[in-house]
Amino acid sequence: MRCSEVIQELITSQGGRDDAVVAHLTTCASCRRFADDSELLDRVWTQTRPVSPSLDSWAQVWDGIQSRLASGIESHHPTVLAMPATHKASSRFRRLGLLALAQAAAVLFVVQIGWHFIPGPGRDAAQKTQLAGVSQPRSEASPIEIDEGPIVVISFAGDAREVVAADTDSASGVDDGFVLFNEIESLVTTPVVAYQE
Amino acid sequence: MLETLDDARTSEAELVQSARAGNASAQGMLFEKHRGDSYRVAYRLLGHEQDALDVVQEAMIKAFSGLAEFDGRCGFRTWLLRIVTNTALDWGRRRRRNPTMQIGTDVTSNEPVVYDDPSRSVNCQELRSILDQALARLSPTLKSTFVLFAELEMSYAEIAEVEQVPIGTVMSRIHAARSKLQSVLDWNRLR
Repeated sequence: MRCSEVIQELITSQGGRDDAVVAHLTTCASCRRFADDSELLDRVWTQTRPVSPSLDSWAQVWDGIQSRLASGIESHHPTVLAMPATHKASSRFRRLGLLALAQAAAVLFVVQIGWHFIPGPGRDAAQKTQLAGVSQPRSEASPIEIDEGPIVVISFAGDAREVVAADTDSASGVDDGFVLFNEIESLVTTPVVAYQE
Repeated sequence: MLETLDDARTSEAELVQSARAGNASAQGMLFEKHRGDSYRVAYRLLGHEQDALDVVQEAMIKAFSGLAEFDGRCGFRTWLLRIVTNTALDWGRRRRRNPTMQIGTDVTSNEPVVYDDPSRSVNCQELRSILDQALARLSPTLKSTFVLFAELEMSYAEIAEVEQVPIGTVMSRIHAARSKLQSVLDWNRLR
C-alpha cells in the first residue's frame, strides 16, 4: 500500500485496521507516527465526551419548549432547515472559481517576484526611497520549490513564505479540490495565494 | 409528565404524526429519544454545556413548530440533527459577535475527570480546552461533519443525508478535518 492510501484508511476507518495497513505501519515510521497521533486524538475525544445533563436540566429545557410552543412563539431567529445542497454544477463552478483564483494569484505572484528580483531603474529609486531611514534592508525570501501540475496554497506570514497545501492525488473517493478549498477556508487569518506551475 | 411517556412500541412515524398534530406526549417522547444525541452534537460544536442545552431547546422548538415542513423523506433523527447542527453553528456565530453570551453556569458536573494514566497531569477540562482550540480552527462545515462522525459515530451515508451532500464530500470533509486537527493539536500538552 502507498502511504497516501494508508493515511486515507486511517482517517476514514470506523473499525479495526486492515492487515495491509498494519503491515505498512510496521515498516513506515512516518505513517506510524500519524497512526499514533490519530489514536491519541481518538483517546482524547473519548476522554472528553460530554457528561449528560441532569434530569432537572432536561426538565427545564422541556418546560421551556412547551411554554414557547404553547404561546405560539417560534424561534427568535430565522429557521434554517437545510444546509445548502452541493450539486455537481456548483462543484464545477467551484473548481472553475478556484482555477480563476489560482490564475489571478499566479499573476500577482509573478508580479511580486518580478518586483523583488528583477532590477529596474524606477524601482531601484523607489526601493531606495522606501528603505530610507531603515537600518537593515529587507531580507529576500528564498525561492519556493513547486512541482508542476498541482495547485498549491502559499501562505505569507511576515517575510516567510510557505507551501501549506497542495492539490495532490489521494486515495479514491476524496475530492482533492474540496480538501484544498477547505484548507484555504481554514486559513482565514493568514494571507494566502493559490498557484499552479 | 415525562415519566409517562414511555410507550416504546409506538413507532417514530406515528409519533411524528401525533407531534405534528400538537400532541404534547408525542413531542415529549421525541424529545426524550433524541435529546441526548442533539446535546452531544451541540456541545461538541460549541464547547459549552449551557449553550448546548439552549441550542437543543431552540432546535426542538424549531422542529416541532416546523413539522409541517418535514416530508418524511429522511428519518426524523436525520432531520432534527440537521436543525441542531445549523442552530448550533448559528449560535456559535452570534456568540463570536457577542462574547458576553459565553457567561453562564455549567449544568453538568465540573469535577475534573482524570486521564486514564495517573502519570499524566492533564485533566479532562484541560483536554477539552486543547481539543476545543483545535476544533475552533476548523471551518463550520468541517467541524459539523467531523462531530457527527466522531461523536455520534454516524456512517458516511447518514452524515451525507444530514448535511445533504454526496458521500464523497463527507469523506473529503472528514479527511480534511482529521488532518487539520492532527496538525494543529498541541501534542506536547497531550503526551
